[in-house]
Amino acid sequence: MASLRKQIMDGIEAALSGLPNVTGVYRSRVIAYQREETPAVYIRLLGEIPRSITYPYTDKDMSFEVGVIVRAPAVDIATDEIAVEIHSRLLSEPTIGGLCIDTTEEGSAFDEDDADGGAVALRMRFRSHYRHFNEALDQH
Amino acid sequence: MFAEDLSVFFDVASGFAVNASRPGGAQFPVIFDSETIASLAGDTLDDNPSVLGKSSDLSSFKPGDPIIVNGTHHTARTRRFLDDKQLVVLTISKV
Repeated sequence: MASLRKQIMDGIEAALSGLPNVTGVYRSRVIAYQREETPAVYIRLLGEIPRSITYPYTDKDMSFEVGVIVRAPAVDIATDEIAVEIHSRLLSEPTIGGLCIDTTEEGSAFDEDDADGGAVALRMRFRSHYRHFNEALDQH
Repeated sequence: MFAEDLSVFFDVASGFAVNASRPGGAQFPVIFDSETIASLAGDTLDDNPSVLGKSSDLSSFKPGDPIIVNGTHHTARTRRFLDDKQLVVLTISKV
């Protein structure tokens, strides 16, 4: 069975599917986005660390990033509507289908760059707290 | 001191140059390029249209000023002088 980490990422991807006004939700994509592929949303796993290890469970914090890339001159304006929708979808169901104990936000970063028509990115960071059996990454 | 004749680099009739102008203004020759560049730390690839021309024609352009290049409307983004400031690269955005 897939690890809980992968199941949670699958759940996040499912929660964000069908976002309006974007070309797609891309997972762990390393290929640069062409203009016609934007506005784009990506999901990227950043890392995880054990929060506590007490027999028989390990509690972990898994950090992930949801980014919004838009071709426009002002990041806070251009990404605002999509950001509201992403935040609502993730935090209105913070257990991600019962896979984790909680999901909370960790903050956002705003990037702006010079390009034909502008290029901006909002990078929203979240943390999911989940629990698995010490000996099994796929069981909780 | 000799007088530079930059016009030989900007030949519209039989060279690589095209005509540009401010809306309703006089035409001047530029060399148009549109290379692809990476932005947002490599997350995106984008066109980076620009024109190379004489300072006497381009040095007065400011960000947001309209410029028509080979019949297509653009706005100016950044102005960068080259070498002895006789030539300018003006990055532009397609309208």
